[in-house]
Amino acid sequence: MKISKLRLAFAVTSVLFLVVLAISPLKDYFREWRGYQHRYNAFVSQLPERVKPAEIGIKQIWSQKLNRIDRCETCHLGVTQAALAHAPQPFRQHPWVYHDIEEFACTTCHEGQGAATTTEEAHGNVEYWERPLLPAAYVEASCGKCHKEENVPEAPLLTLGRKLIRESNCVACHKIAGYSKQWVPNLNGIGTKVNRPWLVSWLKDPKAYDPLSKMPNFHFTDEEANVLADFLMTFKTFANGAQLEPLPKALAASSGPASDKMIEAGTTRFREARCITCHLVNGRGGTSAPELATVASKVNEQWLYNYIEEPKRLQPLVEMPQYRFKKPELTSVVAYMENQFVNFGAEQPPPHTPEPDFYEKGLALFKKYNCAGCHTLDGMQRAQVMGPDLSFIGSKKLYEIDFGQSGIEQTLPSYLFTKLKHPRIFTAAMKMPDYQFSDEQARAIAVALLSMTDDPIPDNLIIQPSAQSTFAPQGKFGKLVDELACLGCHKMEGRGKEIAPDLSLEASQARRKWIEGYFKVPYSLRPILTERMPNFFLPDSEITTIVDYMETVFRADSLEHAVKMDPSTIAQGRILYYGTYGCQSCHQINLKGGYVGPPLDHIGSRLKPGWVFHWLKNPQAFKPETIEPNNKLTDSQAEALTAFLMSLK
Amino acid sequence: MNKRFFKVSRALGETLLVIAAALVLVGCSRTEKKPAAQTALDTTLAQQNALTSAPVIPLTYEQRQGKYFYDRYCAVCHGEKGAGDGFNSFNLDPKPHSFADSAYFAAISDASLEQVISAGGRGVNKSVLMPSYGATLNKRDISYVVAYLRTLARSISSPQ
Repeated sequence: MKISKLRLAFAVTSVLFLVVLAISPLKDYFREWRGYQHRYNAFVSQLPERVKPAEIGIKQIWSQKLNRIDRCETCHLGVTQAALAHAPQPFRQHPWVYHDIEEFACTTCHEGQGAATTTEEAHGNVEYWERPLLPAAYVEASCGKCHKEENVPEAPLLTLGRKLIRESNCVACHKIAGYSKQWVPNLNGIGTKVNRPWLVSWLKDPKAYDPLSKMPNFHFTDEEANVLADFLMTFKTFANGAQLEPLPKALAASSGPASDKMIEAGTTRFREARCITCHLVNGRGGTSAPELATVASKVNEQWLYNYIEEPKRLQPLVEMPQYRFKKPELTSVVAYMENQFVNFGAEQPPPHTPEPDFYEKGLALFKKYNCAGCHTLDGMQRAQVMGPDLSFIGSKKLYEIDFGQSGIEQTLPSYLFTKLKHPRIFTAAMKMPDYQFSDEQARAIAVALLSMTDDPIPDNLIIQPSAQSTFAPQGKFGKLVDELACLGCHKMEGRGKEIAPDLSLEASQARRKWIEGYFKVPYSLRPILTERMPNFFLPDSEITTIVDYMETVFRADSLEHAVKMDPSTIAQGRILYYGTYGCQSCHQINLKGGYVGPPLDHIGSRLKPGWVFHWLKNPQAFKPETIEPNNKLTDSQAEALTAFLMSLK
Repeated sequence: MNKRFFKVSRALGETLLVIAAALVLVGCSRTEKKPAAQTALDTTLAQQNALTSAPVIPLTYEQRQGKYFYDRYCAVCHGEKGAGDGFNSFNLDPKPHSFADSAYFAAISDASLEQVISAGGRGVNKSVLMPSYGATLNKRDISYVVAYLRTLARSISSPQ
């Protein structure tokens, strides 16, 4: 009896032991990824194309140079299978990308926990894994980890984000590697320049006055805006002690036939000067300078007169050109603006007496919101420590983030997006102003911020931004470039903006006579553009200085190319133009044809044959963004076409 | 036995009471007006959820790349939505193709569309007004454009 009881116990423990032993292999057998692999094999066996079934087992990519081991392909089995381009996930083919997946692995771009073997853990949605899978909308952030240049055309959202970070001047308060402070108007003399009611309304909501203003909304209370305005109005003297010249007497008369005539002349000058190339007027016009619709209700007339006369005297480094108006012309422009750009609906503000301690209170606000971070004001210091250092924001740990009561999804992308949309939502102490970004803008900035990580990336993989051009013309030409703010629109030798054509090869491109005439009557080569060359009313001597410089510097002898101008070549070129290549779909001659490209009437008097020849051979070599297609012309075709175009005098 | 049953049911009743009270409280707090900031945040949250869950971007990667090229090279004549009404279409005779004719369009294979884009109208015995992009865009870029064209055909013929 005793023995049998012992036997029974032995038998039971043996069975238990065996069961325990079986747990491990069984657990392995029922792993999630095996299920995916069996489903994959069943799926590909039904396809009309032959796709090799997967061998059951863990699959991994080892990227030696990035030190990553990713097992994503254990379930994502069709990553390299062209036949699975439209298969359901997780079996779909990866879209074509610039990088070899075997070389760069998966988590380099997508984040997540590469070594894990369950979906939940691999996608990183588990505790203590700081970098879960990046949502697809933010994946361009990973491009930016290596591609450090501002313009990454293949990653448009990243590019937009970087541009916005630069333009919004985030570095005024945050430390961000690779960005430098933007020019912002200095506030010296603000008390002489603007009137107080305008300043209060501006401080309350800058975008109400200028929808494209870069100044964010600080959500000041009425009291704060009033105190700050009182404080700012005390700064009456301009930078470098510049003084305002008195207004000419002609501006004193506000009505009468003489005044009407002056306003009429001013209208013409204002239009010829093409102010709306840069400035908005009632929402129409360029986007690089402030709205002018009600500027006469903003600034003092005397300031306006002095500013247009010599902008950089009152606002050093501003990109406003110094027009060569004669005194009466300038007077008429100011008369026109004072007459036209008035806020007729403005209410008379109630009389205001500043609080006794307005200066201290205003100064405290000025300091609290780091106004000096953007604006220069004599005697004011920029706050040393303001917002957090964003240089490695993409690696920020979740436990370091205060999500407050927001209740948003607790991930870094959602935090950044929400912070940009509602800067003060997380805690009451937050001071960041509201930039009123659109959803796309906020997402783009979040992408650009997420790209700034401290991930160890080998130096040879990092693409640094190209060195900035140091082109700085000197002498008479340099002074003119500065005064006319040429670089505010044109690029020269790698410096300047891209609103207008690059001038680095201008003398090889255009004929001297045409350039000279163009300064006198700057017509638009492309009528559909808003941004057109203004008429600066330059005297002949200054035009000669500019063109002489261009003829010496902005040319490349390699672009010379002689073209035979005999009738048969011209006739051949005409056939190529109209019959073979259909150039008329984009260009006009004698008002016939499209207007995607510039009209080609008189092009023989405008351009040089060598330039036209080389341009036709490969337009993208001169202007990578041009939409003119490369037609793979032979030399003789390009010569014939050039001859035809040059015959259009 | 009876006593124990009584005890248990009393505990249960108490629990129920507490739950009911909690529900009433929750109900009350729900009816309170939300502050403006919270409403704004809710909108953001909804956008966030729409972003992070389910369909992220309606276009695939290929189609998005194609859109980039289409908007840049094609839209001036063929129109932003592909209806053949780009600003420059009014200068052209014959008019650029609209992709609205989905029956006609569906009958053209991807390969022939790629051929038209790459060799231009003159390459396929059609109007020379359609330029050739074979030397400007590579094969892959052109296949992206075709992928995007197909989405245009869909969105025009079945407006939401």
